[in-house]
Amino acid sequence: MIYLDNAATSFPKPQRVISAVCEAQRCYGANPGRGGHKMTLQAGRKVFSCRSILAELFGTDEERVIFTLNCTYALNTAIKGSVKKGDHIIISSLEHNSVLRPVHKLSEQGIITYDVFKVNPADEEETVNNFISLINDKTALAVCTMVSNVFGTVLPFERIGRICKKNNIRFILDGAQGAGSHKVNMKVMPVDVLCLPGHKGLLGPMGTGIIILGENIEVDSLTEGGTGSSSLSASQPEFYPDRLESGTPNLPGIAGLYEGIKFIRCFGGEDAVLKKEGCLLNVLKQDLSVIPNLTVYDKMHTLPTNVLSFNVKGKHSEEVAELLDKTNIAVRAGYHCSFLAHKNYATMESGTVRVSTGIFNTKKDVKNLAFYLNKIAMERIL
Amino acid sequence: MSLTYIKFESQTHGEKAVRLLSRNGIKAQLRRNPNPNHKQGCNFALFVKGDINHAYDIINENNIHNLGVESYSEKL
Repeated sequence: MIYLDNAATSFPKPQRVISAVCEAQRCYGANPGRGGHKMTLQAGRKVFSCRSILAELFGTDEERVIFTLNCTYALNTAIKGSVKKGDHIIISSLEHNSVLRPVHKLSEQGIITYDVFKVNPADEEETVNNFISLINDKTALAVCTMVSNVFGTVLPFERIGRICKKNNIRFILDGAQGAGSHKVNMKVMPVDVLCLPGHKGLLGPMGTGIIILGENIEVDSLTEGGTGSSSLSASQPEFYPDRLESGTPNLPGIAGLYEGIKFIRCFGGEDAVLKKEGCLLNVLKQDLSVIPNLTVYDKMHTLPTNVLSFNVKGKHSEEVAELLDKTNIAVRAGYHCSFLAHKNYATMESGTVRVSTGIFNTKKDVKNLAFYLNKIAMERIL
Repeated sequence: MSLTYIKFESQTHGEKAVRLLSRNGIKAQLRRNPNPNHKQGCNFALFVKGDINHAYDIINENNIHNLGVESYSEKL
């Protein structure tokens, strides 16, 4: 199988990730931070090691690295824990449903109001001005994706973050598609909260999500429960990470995530990853440019990226993905859990076929994709 | 036998202190607090090899959240 669906989850995982997951289960699978015996302490130290490497990677303190179930849970916590009644939120036109839906729900509950700013991938000034035009005196929060999961567009998130800082607006960055390939340093970048999946670009297992809190940023808990600390108090601890980390953490997942990040470091860091994945996408774009009956959404790219969408004229995206699957090529089709992106960029009718390159893909993989796609576009595959 | 240690509310803070002290050439071991009080509930105890007050100062200088120094007499 040629796997080109890395925006959904990265595959394969490095062997060291798989080994770490197994080792955690086999050798020290106790509940971290909950007891006093050797195994629980060892488990707790592993969780701390992962917290530590994430803190270093994203420029924060260990206490401000919060483990969650996934990026959606991280975003829900960050968004719902940041607003109060009467607040106004601004989100971008390329947001995933994991941002749109919690914001929309808060709006339906009468807690907040929200607006969507249109991203023009070809005109950063227009994008930024569209954002500014929506700021009002009630605006308390802006949420923006780093890289569109549908089109691969890299948003001008640093500029938007700076505007937020100037206007005393909290800025949450959804790093679902950027982490592991695009550098983010909270110490120097104007990002208040960064939400991440562990299982995509960071190469960890599924079931790992992360919230990175900036300095002095307070986020209220979405869930309360056992933390292994302050056990005789009925109230949730107010210190981090415990305030936002109730229940048993995913120790095997966190152990794997730690190794995933180490793998990226050994590979040369985010720049090296983006260089490889971006180069592969450029090879693909070049090959797709000569195939007839294709609509390639490469105008959505102005910066290096690892996600590309296209459609074959006269075919639904799902049909194209199914035909590619028959040739053992895995891509994603449909709407990619992103209603806003399709609504705003005229792809509601058939969604898109999405290709997302990963650290283990080769030039041969994308050449093969182009080869079979040419056959599909010329209707030589049934 | 009397034990003196620095108390931490969570293992995260305790491990951070262990690493900090190690960087300052001080050996320390984090364990579950053997004598939690009835107000705070479960927490962690950092046992320091050497001058605990010096270690405590380093931890506070680096703003690592803790619950102070405590002594406990072990009943044999």
